[in-house]
Amino acid sequence: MLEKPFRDELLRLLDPSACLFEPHQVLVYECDGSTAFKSVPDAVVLPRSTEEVAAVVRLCDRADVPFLARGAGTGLSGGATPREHGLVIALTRMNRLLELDLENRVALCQTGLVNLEISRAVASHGLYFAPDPSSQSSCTLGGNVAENSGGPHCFKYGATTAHVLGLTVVMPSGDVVRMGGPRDGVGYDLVGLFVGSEGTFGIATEALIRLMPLPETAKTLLAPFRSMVTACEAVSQIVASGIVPAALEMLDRPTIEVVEAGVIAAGYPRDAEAVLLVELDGAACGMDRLLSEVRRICLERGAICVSVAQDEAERARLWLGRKAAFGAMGRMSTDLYVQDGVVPRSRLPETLERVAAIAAKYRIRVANVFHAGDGNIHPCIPYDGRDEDEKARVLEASREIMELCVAMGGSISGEHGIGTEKSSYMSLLFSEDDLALMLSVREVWNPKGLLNPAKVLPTGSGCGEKRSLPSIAASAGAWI
Amino acid sequence: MTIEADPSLKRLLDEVEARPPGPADPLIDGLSPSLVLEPETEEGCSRALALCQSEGMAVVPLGAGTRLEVGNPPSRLDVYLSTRALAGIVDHVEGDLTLVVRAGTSLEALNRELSHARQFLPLDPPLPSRATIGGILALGEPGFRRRPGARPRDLLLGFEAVLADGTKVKAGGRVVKNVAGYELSKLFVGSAGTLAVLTRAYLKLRALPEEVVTLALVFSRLSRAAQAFHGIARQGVLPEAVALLNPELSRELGWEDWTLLARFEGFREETSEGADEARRHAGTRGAESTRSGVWDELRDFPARPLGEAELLLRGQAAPARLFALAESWQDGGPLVAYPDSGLVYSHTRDLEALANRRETAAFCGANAVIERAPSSIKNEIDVFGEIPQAFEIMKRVKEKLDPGGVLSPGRFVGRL
Repeated sequence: MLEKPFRDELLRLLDPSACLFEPHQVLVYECDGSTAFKSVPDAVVLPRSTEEVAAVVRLCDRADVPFLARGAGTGLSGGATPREHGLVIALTRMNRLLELDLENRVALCQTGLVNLEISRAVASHGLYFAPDPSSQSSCTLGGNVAENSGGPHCFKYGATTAHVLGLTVVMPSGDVVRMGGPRDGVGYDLVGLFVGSEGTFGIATEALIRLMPLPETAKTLLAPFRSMVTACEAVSQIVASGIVPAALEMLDRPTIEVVEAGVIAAGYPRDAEAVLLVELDGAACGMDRLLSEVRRICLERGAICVSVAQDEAERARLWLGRKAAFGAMGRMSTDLYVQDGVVPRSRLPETLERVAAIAAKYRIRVANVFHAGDGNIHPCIPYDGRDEDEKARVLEASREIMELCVAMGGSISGEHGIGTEKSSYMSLLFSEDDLALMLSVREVWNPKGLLNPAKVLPTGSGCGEKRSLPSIAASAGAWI
Repeated sequence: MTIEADPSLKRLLDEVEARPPGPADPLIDGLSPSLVLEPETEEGCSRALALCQSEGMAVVPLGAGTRLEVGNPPSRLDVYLSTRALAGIVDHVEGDLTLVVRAGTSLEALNRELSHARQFLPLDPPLPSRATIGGILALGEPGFRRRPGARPRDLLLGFEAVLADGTKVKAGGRVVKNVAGYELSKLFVGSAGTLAVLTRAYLKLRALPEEVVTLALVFSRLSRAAQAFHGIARQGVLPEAVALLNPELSRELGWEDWTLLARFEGFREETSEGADEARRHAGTRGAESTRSGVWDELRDFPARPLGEAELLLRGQAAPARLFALAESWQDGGPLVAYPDSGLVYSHTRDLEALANRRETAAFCGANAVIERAPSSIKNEIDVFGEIPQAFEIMKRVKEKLDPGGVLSPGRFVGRL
């Protein structure tokens, strides 16, 4: 609970409408997109400028109050909710595009700006912002910076880190530091280090981002397969051929069923074991050859058929099915646990078979929708949060899936981050020395540890949390 | 003092793979180390660094030594830690287009091996037949491919390294997408051997293109070259690389006046369409297809003899200001610029020319880093120019990771 003088000071620094103290006001900030990890903050503030953020941070630093930044709260690893208590600095009112530099194809934006709004604002100039997480219609640029967010199209264009050129950061001391810029700075690549630090290094309030020219043309192919194994083989062969699709996405049968049963039905064949979506973009001239190459590979690998979206409406429908698949899974149960792991692309078939075996062992259901080109899997586990026994099985299965990804030579997160959810899994991947190095780098930025404490790295010494499981909060009946 | 008489050097000689420097070992700004450590394993590298730290010896990591001129002169130099013996491919997974390679492997040797699988690592540093992966990543400079996706920071998925105290660490991973833990790969790329000695790199590869086509467009006036570049940058098939040569370099390579080179890579349909589109932006002097070998000469430009010039300057501007910067730096020697990214390399005659150029760079909102210069100049002037605003954070990173200041002391920004 925050002391009254602290609250009074917040009210002095900010407009009263920007300070939320009442339980009913702060309740919606208790979790992010994964309802699994909940913790109600002591208070929430909604600053409008870098200066206001810095003033609030200086106050927290003086009063030793833990604090963290939050965008739209669409994250899936508990990164934007306090681990125990503290102040949430929500950046959603900092949503202005400050400068658009068409000649250099960059934009300076406040970080509370919604991802898709950026692309909408610059579309008339033939430009867009490439990172496209599924939540792009609501997630913020600041959240993308914190999580180094990906999305289907990062297969070709890289995750957020490839598109951020400079940052204005409020350090945990309240100092404001600018790093990077339109010209490559000299010295260590602090912008590269900051992107993906999950809100534990500082609070980015402004970002200079790269805008990409809209491709001349984009084509989406739909290839249903009778077997997930052959579908994955087709993916590997497409990539090895030298073709760089804009996206290579896969949905398995349970996902196809749930998508097709709802209002977002995309026209995926319901008798397929796997649906592969391939997007090719670029110049119109080479498109026919690329399309026929991809078609040939898919058919050779046993695709039931290959069709190309004939117009923009059809293309949008194919993508809506993919992007709204998580939401559609609300049909399956009251709660959903979306896992995020990575394996080498060539080991996808084996991995998915073993994920199915893990699901059977723990008597849970798993629906897979994933970025096949990157080997980034998202096993989705529907469960009933009111059933303690099922919750426990979900967590055990999740841990086994993470162990499986590591055993395959992969990683425990491709794009959702470590946050609260996976800090105890970090020692699956890293030695105590590796974690100690990460901790010392964090201490450079966040020496008192007041900013977003107990995230990313296991608390305590090194792998102290090795065997523990994250806890899933009691369900409020919500789903994402 | 002889090695035998110095107890610290004697200990190194006795306990790790070490030898006195020979005539083939490079100097840094006229300085030579007392010993060259050449560990044959990562474990040996760890032992060597631990010992150096405990004896307070200043260590400069050494690959092939092709770019030792870059950076400030070391404030102290006791030993080289050579990665020469830590060479070779550890694992190449063709189907995943990923690779684990030891730091001492030369880029050319690596790409020769990868070509059997029709793959390559798309980096183009000077002198690839000698330049090592460890050295290339330590400098972090992209070659002529400067678009996102082909810079060292984009290609390094993870790494293994030894810290100043001998601790062996790893970060990142072998998969192409990974957000587990902090992005230490970004911190180490370009850290110039001041934070750790990289021993293994996990890298992302590309399939070899079906075809490479290079087009040369010649212009009497720089403003026309700028116009053509803006047209090319907006066409359907984008070039993999674009370079601008000033008249002096242009003449050397067989053209005249300002020359714009555009390189297209990919499937035949794309490269020929790209080149056709680019031809439309040619001026009255026309455009011609040319040998793609010209890129090798541009690649090696930062390492070639300076002729009459004393310095090689590297400028970085916002792309829109690049042509202005190139114009103000054009006289006095060959110059090559990469308009996609705003980078310029320019031979610079002397200190007076340097002062002028730094002034015009400031006017263009650019920085100007001295890549090469005689030690007499480097001892007086910080080659990196102005200190970045976030320097305090950089300093704290260095102090945290190398508290004894033993790794490449004095070489980095602000003489860190």
